[in-house]
Amino acid sequence: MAHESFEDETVADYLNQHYISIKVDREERPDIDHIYMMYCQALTGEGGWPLTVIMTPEGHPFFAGTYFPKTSRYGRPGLLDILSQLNEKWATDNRRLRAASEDISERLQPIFAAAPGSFDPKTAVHQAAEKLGNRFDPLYGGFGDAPKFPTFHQLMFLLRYHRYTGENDALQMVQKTLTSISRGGIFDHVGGGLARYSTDTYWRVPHFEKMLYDNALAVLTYTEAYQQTKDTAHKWFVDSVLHYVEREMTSEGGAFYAAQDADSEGQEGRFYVWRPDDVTAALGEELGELYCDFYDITDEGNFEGYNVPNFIETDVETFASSRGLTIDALWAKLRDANEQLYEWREHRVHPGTDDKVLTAWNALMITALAKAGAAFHRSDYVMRAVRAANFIEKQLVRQDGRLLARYRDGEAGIVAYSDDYAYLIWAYLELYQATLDGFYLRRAIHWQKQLDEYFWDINLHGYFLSGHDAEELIARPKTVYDGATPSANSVSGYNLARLYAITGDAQYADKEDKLFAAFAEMLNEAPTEHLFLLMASLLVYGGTTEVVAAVGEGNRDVEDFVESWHQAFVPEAVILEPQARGEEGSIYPAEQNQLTVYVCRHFQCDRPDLDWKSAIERIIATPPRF
Amino acid sequence: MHTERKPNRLIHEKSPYLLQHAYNPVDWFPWGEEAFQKAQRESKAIFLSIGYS
Repeated sequence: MAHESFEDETVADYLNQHYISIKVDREERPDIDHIYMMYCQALTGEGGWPLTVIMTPEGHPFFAGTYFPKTSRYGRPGLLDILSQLNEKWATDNRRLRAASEDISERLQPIFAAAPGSFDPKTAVHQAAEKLGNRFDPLYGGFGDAPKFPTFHQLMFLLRYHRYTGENDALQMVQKTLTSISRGGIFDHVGGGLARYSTDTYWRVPHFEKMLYDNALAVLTYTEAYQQTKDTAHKWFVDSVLHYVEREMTSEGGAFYAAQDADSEGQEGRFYVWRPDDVTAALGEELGELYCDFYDITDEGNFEGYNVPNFIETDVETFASSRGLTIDALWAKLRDANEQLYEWREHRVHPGTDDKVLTAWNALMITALAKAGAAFHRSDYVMRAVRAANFIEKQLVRQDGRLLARYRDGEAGIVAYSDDYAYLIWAYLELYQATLDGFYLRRAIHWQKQLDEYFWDINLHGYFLSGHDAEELIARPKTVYDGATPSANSVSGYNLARLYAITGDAQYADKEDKLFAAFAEMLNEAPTEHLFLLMASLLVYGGTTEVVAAVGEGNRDVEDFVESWHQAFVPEAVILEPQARGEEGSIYPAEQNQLTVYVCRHFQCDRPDLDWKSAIERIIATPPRF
Repeated sequence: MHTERKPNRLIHEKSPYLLQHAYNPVDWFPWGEEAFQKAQRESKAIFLSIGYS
């Protein structure tokens, strides 16, 4: 539409003469996007981008749709026809059109409200797992048909479901999906990093755009799956994505860029695809031939005459032995080849990088780095997380202390939304878990307080998308269901449960109860749309394990403890130092100046234990039941 | 990009997506008071386009 209509003089003349035209970047203004997308879905039954809305000067829409060709074709109305018809209506029937659009706004208000009721966690959780099972693709992993999105919160939920129920199918679904994605063309084998979605059911040909949030959620999920399975392919995947983020998506100040485009030189995927000739030119005959065989690169191609490298159908073991190589030796060759191809590719015209720094997406990557750093003993990952968090604190906080949403080109702006807060709090809690440094817990508490102050709905409960100090729009929605990223209310539910488990402060439990009550009906009716909030419900209704690690003066064992702790996937538990409980903390003394562990289940503690290694083993061996 | 053309108001924005449209012949406004007031003053409907880069 951008090129076809908005660079076209006829369309432009018509718009300039009869309309006031406004353009919005949905990543800067998710509030505007969310409201008008809800209208579009309610009015037309569909949604997508670009989103086109025609509305009164007061912002009440009377027409909405997505893509339109310039002129009518194939029964699809053209933009020029729509513009002239609506303009005529606007001119001749103005009063009625205005009244009708105000009326629509009014009648649509309920879709922005909460759905209070009584939440039945057991039914919702089991139903969600069952529904995912029904939609699972046993051949290629993932859920449903093409296009396939990775939607990592589905897998994070299933990992927890496996932990809480022992259901092996849930773990199999995760393993199959993660393995397929990491072999598919959706993963950039040459440069690392994950594209947004697969256009086919095999994960072979992606939509080539790379988003920061997908890569963050991928790192989180592969790390958790590694903790559970010890599958070294997952570790390799995480390292590869984080290497890509460092090389291409990190600013000088340590913050992360938002996205990379799909197209370059006017062609989708141009930068990422290969012909056998390019490969052999870059790698030489022998290695080139091996590479093409392994990564499905052929003369006929797997994508419009070109090839997206993937090894979906390659059996690695058979391939290695047919070449007289060990698997390790094969991988060493392939990694070297990918690095050479990366250098070769650097000479191509690059797709554009959207270098804006969004607080929300940065916070997701901080969460991912903290988690991966802890699980893989990579202090450099934790350092990168800390550096980005410092960037946010320094560049994205207004003088009066209010968090901001976007930084670019030396300038921060736009007051932050509830997802910026929710993700940032999550990031700080993950940093606290990775280090047990109380500073990060205090930052989490600080931002939670500001979130509660600006976003909490004191009447119907839950968090609004924008703060009470933000620009007033025609509605004030709350986001609850999980899209490409989990919603602000879901992540807040998860944060509140962990803040309560760590600090013991009842105000968090109180908010949590109200939050679940506010959205109960949505959860009961559509559990698979709210998987992240269901993850939180496992903590709230399944009970948490709190592991207090008390350390004697000058004792360094705490680092060993943290390191050992993150070896396993224990989503029901948090670790903390006694100081996290304030004055209450004094009931957890370190015995004999040694690291002493108190294992508590929902605040009921076992006797202090100096043998902390066995204590960890016991926690891993006794998952909660749900 | 028609660099000989005079840019519209999006040229003052920070978003790369909005900047991509700064040289459109469409006289884009960023979301804000100026656009809404002009629409009210001239009694024109608003054409809103939302996207991302």
